[in-house]
Amino acid sequence: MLFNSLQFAFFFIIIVTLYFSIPHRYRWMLLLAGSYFFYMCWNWKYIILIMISTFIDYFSGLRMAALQQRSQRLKYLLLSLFTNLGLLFTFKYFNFFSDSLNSGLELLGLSVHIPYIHVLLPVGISFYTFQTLSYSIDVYRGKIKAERHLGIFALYVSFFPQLVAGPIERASRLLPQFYRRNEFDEARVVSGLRLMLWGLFKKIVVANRVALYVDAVYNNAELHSGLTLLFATYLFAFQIYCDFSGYSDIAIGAARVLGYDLMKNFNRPYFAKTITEFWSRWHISLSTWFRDYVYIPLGGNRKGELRMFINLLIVFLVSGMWHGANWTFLVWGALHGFYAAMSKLTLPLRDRIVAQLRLPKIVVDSVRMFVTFQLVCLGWVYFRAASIEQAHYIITQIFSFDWSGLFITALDQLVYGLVSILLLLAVDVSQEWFGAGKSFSMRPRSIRWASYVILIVVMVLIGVFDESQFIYFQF
Amino acid sequence: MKVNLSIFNSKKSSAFLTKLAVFVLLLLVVDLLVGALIGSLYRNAPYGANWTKENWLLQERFDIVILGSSRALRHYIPEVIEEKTGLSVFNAGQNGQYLLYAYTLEQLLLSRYAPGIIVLDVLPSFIIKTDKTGEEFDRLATLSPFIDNGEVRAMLTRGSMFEGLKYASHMYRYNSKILSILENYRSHPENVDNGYEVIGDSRYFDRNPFILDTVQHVEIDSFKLSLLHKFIMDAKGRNVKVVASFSPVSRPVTSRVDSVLQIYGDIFNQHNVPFINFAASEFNHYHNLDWFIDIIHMDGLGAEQFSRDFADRLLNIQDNKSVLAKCDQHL
Repeated sequence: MLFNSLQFAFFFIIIVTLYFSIPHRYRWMLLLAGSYFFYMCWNWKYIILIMISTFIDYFSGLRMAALQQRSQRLKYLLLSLFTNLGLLFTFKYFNFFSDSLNSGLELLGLSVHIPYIHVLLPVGISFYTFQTLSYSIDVYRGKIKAERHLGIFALYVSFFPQLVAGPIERASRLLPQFYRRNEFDEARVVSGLRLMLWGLFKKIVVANRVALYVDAVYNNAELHSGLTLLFATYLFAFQIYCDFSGYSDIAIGAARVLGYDLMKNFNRPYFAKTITEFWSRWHISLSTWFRDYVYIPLGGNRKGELRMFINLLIVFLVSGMWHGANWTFLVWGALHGFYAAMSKLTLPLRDRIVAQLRLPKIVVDSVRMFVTFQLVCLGWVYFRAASIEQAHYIITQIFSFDWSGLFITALDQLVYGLVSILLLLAVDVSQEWFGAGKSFSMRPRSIRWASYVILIVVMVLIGVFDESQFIYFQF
Repeated sequence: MKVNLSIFNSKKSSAFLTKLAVFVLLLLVVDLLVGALIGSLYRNAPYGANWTKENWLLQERFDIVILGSSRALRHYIPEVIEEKTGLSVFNAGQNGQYLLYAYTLEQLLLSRYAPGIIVLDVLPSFIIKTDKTGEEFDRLATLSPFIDNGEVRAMLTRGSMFEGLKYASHMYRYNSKILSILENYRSHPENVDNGYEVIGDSRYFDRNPFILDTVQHVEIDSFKLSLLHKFIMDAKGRNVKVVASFSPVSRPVTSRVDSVLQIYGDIFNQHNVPFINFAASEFNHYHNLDWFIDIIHMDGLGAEQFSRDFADRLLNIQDNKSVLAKCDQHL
C-alpha cells in the first residue's frame, strides 16, 4: 500500500476515525493491527521477519535491563545484532556477496560457485532493522529503559507511517509517545494534513514527472549527448529529493494527525553551503544514526585528524552499502566520505580566502551552495546509474562538453516538470529565508484554503498518478 | 471495548468536520468548474492535433478510418488515399499504441457513427503476451476525456474501484493534457494531415525491431485475441467493412513474425475480412532502405508510395466497391 494511492487514503481515514473513537488503552492494538496490515499489503509473508526482530529485541532488551554489568549484557546485544544484521544480510546482501565473491574467485582462476538465493527484498528492511537496533544498543548502553509492554514495543518497530522508509526513529523519542493520551487537536490534525498534502505534491507532481525524463535518458544513456545527461542528472537530483522528502513529509504528517511527533528528515538540503551541512539536512534520521552508532563509537574526531578522516570514510562507505547491494552505492558513499573529509580539511583555507577577497556574504554563500550542489549531483550519477561503467560513461560524456542538442520527447511534459520544480523552489526559498512555513498557519483562512485548492488542482491536472514506488523502498 | 465515536460528537471535532465538509464541497465545485472549462477547450480545439486527435475523428465523419500503431500513423497518407478513392480518410494511428487502443477507439467511434471502412494495421505484438500489457492499459489514458463512454471506462479502469474513483474527478480526465490542448489554440500544427504525421525523407537507422522479435517466449494473449474478434464482430454489427493490413517493413520478416501473420490470416479468414499482408514475397520491392527511417517505420517517400499502392488495393477488393459506393451515396 503506497502513500500515493487511494487505498492508503481509505486506510488512513479508517485508522484516524477509529483511533479517536476508541479509548486510549486500546489504541496501541489498533495501530499495531493497522501497521501489520499496512505491511502485509506488500508481502504478507515478510511480516514474520518483523515479528522475529520484534521478539528477539524485546527479549534481549528485557534481559539486558535485568543485568547490571555491561559485560553481562553484551551477549544479548550480540544476539540482537546478529539476528537483525543476519536477516538484513541474507535478504539484501547475500546475492551481492555471492556475485562479488564468484567474480573474485573467477579472476583467481578458481571455479567455485557460491549459489544465489531467490528471495524478494523485504520492503523497508533497512529502515526497521536500524530502528530496532538503535533500541538494543541504547538499552545496552543504559541510555533507555527496556520496554516491558510487548505490544507497545511491537508498535515501535512497525509503526506504519515510518515503517517502510523512515524517518528512522529512536526509542527514547517514540516509545514514550505511545503512552501519551492524544486528544483530538484540530490545529495538529490540520498541520499534519497540510504536510501530507505537500509531500504528495512533491511525489506526484515533481518526482514522478521528472522521473519520466530521467528514466528515458538513464535507461539509454549511450544514445544521449553530454548536455542531455547533465540535464537528466540535475533532474534526478530533484526527483530523489522530492521522492524521499515527499515520503518523509507524508509519514511525519500522518503521524502528526494521530498525535505523534516524528523527527524531521529533510531540511532543504540543496541550500547547504558545504557537504557537511548537506548531510545535516539530508536524511537526517539516518545521518544522526550513523553519527551516534558508528562515527562516535569509532572515535569520531577525538583521535586526531587522520583517524577522523578514516572514520568519515568508514561511515560513508557503510552508508553507501546501507542504500543498496551494488558497487555504485559503495562508490557513491566513498565519494561522499572523500567530500566530507576534504570539506573539513579545506574549510580553514577557504575561510581565509573568503576573508581576504572581502566578497559580500550573499555572493560567497551562493558560490558555496552552487559548488556543493554540483558535488552532490556528481554523486547522484553513481547513485542512479545501473553500473560503475555506465556512471563513468555518463561523467565522461558530460565532461567531454560535446553538448550536441538536448533530448526532448514531449515538450509539454518537460514544461510540467520544470514548472513544478520552480514551484517547489519558490516554497523552499520562502521557507529557508523568509520563514514562510511557520507563518502560513497564521494567514487568513481564505488564503490557506485557496493555497490548498490550487495545490490540489495542480496535482490533479499535471501529477503523474501511476502509483509508482518510492525510490527509498528498495533500501 | 466501548466505541464512543467521540470524534463525531465533541464540539472541537464536529467544528473541524464541518469545516472539512465545506472544504470538500468547495473542492467538488472547483473540480466540476475547472473540468467543464478544460472539457470545453478540448472539444472546441480548432485544429485537433495534440491529444485532441480522437475528438477530431469523432466530431467529423470520415468514410475510411485507419487504426493502429505508429506504423499506421506514419504509413497511411489520407490525402493520397482520398485522391484515389474520392472518399474522406482519417488516420487514427498513434505512437506507442497497440490493439487495446485500436479496440477502445473503435468502440468509441461506433458509438458516434459508422464509417464505411475501418482499416486495421496490425502489429505482430497486438495479440502476444508481453510484460508491457500494464503499460498498454496505462497509455489508454489518452482516451480519458471520453470516460463517460461505458467501453472506455471499462478499459481505463479495468474494473478497479480505485481507478474508477480517480475518474470521478472531472479534472483528472484531462490530466497531463492542458498544455497540449492550449497549444492547439496557439498555432496550426503544419505537419498534421487528417491525423497523419508527415515525416520527410530521413536517414535510415538499423533499429526498432518488432517487439515480437525481442521477447523470449511467444504466447498468444487470449484477452487480446478476444478483443480482436470483438473488434471485427462489432464493426460488422454496424455494417462497417473491416480491412486488415500489415504494412511494409524494410526487410523480410523473421519466421516468428511470419508465424503470427499466419495466425492473423486464419483469424481474418474466419471472419471473411480481407487481409493485405505486405510482408508477402510479392511486395519485396518495398525492401528499400530509402523508404524507411528504421526497420519497421517508413519515411514520407515510402509512405506516399505505399498509400498509393494501398488505395489501389482497397479499390480492387471486390466487396469494397459496394461499400465505397454506399459511402458515396451517403455523402
